[in-house]
Amino acid sequence: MADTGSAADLDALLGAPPPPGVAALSASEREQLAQVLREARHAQAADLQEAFAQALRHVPFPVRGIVKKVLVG
Amino acid sequence: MSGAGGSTARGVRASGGRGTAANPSVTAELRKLAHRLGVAPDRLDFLAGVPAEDLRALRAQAGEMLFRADKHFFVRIAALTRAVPSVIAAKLAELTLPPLLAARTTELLDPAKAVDMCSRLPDGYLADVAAALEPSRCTGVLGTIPPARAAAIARVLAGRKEWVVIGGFVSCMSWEAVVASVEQLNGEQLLRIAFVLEDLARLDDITQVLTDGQLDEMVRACAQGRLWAELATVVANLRPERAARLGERLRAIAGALEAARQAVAAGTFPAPALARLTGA
Repeated sequence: MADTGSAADLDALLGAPPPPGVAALSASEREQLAQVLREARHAQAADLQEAFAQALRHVPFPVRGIVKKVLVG
Repeated sequence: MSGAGGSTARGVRASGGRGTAANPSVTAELRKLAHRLGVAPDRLDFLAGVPAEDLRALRAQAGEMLFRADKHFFVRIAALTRAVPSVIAAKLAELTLPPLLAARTTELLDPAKAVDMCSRLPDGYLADVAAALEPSRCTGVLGTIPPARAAAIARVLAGRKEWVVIGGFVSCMSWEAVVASVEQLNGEQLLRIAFVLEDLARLDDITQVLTDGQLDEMVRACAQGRLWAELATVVANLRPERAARLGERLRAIAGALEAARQAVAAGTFPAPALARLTGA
């Protein structure tokens, strides 16, 4: 069961089944990979948030809210 | 620098270190995957038994995953960039847009607009953006960067030891830009880039334009820095006449041939690679 769950995790993260050599990894190795992928996603999201906040600091305060709304909805 | 492939954003450089003779193509792929995921290569040691072509496919999937995950975030910035003249967009980008955001936005821009903006931005900023770019998503932009510009950016990236980044760009750049960039690099830098080159089919042509001095630097880097796995990758992708030229340099440098023989004996340099160099 652990094998199935781990494989489903990877499929969901990657949006497709992984290549055969990756699918053939042990359940714990697939979970390790899934963890690295999750961390990469979180790190990217955090980096983008920081980058966006940094960019907004250059926008004059009175119009910052409007610019933010235009850019991210 | 930032990078969603963002190794440097989190203080990790995935592109350094030595190759291993055991399976150089797997080592090279693991470095590229580590760069894409922003982790140190040894974090991926558990993938060392996966074939190189599967690691390459996994890297493509991971890149797509990261692109998809936050696409909504920069789609609007790209739309805004399209709406203003390049001269203003470039100035705004340099002043306000951190490289990671600029890289993701570039991947969504029309190549003509992106190239126009690139021509108005300083080398250091472009090198920062380059380190965060996914080359396969900007082939139209990278293919039209003027040679002198490409060379300047390559010099900056090499100074930062961004071998994976440079190795990824080579397959997308014009031949003239590749030649101009190669002129800026020394033999050791070229060896490290060659090891993680995305398009190994270009290695033979690139070696053709190297000077004897650069080849000598490559040989010395091997003998002194033990970059034998890197040299093995180069040799495996050369035509016989090019391998013979490199072999001449190996013989010309005192102690280099002996060092290569010792590397073969130690199992760090494949015997067939030495045979290709020496014609034996």
